[in-house]
Amino acid sequence: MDIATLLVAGLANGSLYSLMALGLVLVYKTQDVINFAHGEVLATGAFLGYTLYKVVGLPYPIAFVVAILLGGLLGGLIERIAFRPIAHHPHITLAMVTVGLSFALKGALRIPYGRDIYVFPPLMGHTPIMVGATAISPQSIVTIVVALMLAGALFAFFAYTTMGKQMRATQQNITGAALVGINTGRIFSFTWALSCLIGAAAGVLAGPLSLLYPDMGTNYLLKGFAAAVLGGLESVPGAMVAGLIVGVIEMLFGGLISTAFQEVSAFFIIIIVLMFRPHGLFGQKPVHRV
Amino acid sequence: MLTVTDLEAGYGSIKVLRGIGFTVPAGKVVALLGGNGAGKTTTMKTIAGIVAATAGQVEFDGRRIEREPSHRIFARGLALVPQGRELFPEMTVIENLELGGLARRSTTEIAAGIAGVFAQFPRLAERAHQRAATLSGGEQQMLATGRALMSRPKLLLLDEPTTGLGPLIVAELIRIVRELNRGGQTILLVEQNVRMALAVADYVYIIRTGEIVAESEAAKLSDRDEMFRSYLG
Ligand SMILES: Nc1ncnc2c1ncn2[C@@H]1O[C@H](COP(=O)(O)OP(=O)(O)OP(=O)(O)O)[C@@H](O)[C@H]1O
Ligand SMILES: [Mg+2]
Repeated sequence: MDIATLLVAGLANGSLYSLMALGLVLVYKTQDVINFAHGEVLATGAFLGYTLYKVVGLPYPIAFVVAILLGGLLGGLIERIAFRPIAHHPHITLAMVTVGLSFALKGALRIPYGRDIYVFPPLMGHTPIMVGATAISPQSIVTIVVALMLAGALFAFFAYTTMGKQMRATQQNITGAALVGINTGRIFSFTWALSCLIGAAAGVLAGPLSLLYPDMGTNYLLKGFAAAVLGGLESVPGAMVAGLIVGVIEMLFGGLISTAFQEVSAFFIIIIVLMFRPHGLFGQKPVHRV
Repeated sequence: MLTVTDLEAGYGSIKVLRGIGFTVPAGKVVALLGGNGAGKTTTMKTIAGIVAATAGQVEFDGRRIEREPSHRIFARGLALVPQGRELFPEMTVIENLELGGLARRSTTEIAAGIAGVFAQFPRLAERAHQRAATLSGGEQQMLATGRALMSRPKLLLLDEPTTGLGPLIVAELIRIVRELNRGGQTILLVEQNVRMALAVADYVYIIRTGEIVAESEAAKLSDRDEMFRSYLG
């Protein structure tokens, strides 16, 4: 198969892993917890997008925006209802709560959607665009462009807005943040909202590349988690880049070497990288904090 | 400005403050002196809303604040420079200062505030674009103080500003505290360094195992005073 075709497909999948990794990293940086329910956040986003676009019949851009805003709202509610009351408990307790949440969300999705598999049609049809010998699926382009736009918006948000700066401050020192008048509870809610908004966006974009079923998030969670670790777990640019790397490795491995090991190929590479750089590609050695 | 009455607080089942009471009048510098583990930091954190009060009252600027969250207390004009400094290590000096003003001030006020802090601490101006983690201990203390001043607080709480710092920097901090106070700043200072405390304070309280055991006008005390030394343990 044409390498350029594989690359584009890899970047499209990879940009979804990047978005998943971003969502995981945001929550981890603020609360030191891996959200094991993040795959179900993606699935919820996918089903919301499907319902608004296919069932309600909204135009795609509006369906996309409404779906991710609802995803963000879900995240804010999760923090407020499930996490705020137990925020002072050990991290392992919080992590177990996210595991429980994962089952709860899957169950909730099965109520309206049952165990069926749904198909989210690609936005611009199935016909690939031919560039020379390279076949590029229009959906891949949509996925990559939207993911990059989201990542760009996120960088600008952290660099220039008051809320973004206060979120970074809270990530670096919660006590320090409280002492400069930051409402850290609000920051936690907002972090979850932002994380889940991005996860839901990954879900809407994943719809046409995958099939829709309540368990669809598991694979994305694994790959997103791998990317987050590869990126250094605390690095936003690291998550972005590592997601793309995982997507491309997987596609090249599957296309050029063997499809049998495609699913695990990225994990091999990550294990090798972590042997040489235990803090990930973009992670820093735990510095002596002030 | 600040009146603390019968204040109790602790960590889980450990009770640290056993009914602390003292006052800080507007425009004055009041020092809280005490040995290791006396409960000085706990007192400061409880006033600032970082540790929850289990009994007693804190009245600040005519309002009860002992049940309020830290961000609301900060918004009322009470800023704490904590013992651990608690800076944002990956952010530059300027970004740290900016965050100190963000919750209470407009952008133009923040720019003016940063200029003011740099005038007060020229060393920070030289380090404006360095990350906080790369500063020396003295510079970090200056940055933590500058960050608190960015909100132009009515009451400034300083928790052991001199810990671990050399005599030159201590002298500089004494100069700065005096200068701030001359400009009308009300200050509550916690110290183990008796010299520093007596050099700047109008009034002194001595705290021991969570209780106030003595108090006096600073002018009546000398750091060689035996009675006074024995309280510090
Ligand atoms: N987070 C905490 N959890 C449990 N106990 C604590 C905690 N912080 C302080 N303590 C205990 O509370 C008591 C008072 O501590 P505090 O920090 O208020 O003392 P301090 O007077 O500020 O001492 P120092 O001069 O060493 O700073 C000590 O016995 C200490 O061990
Ligand atoms: Mg202390």
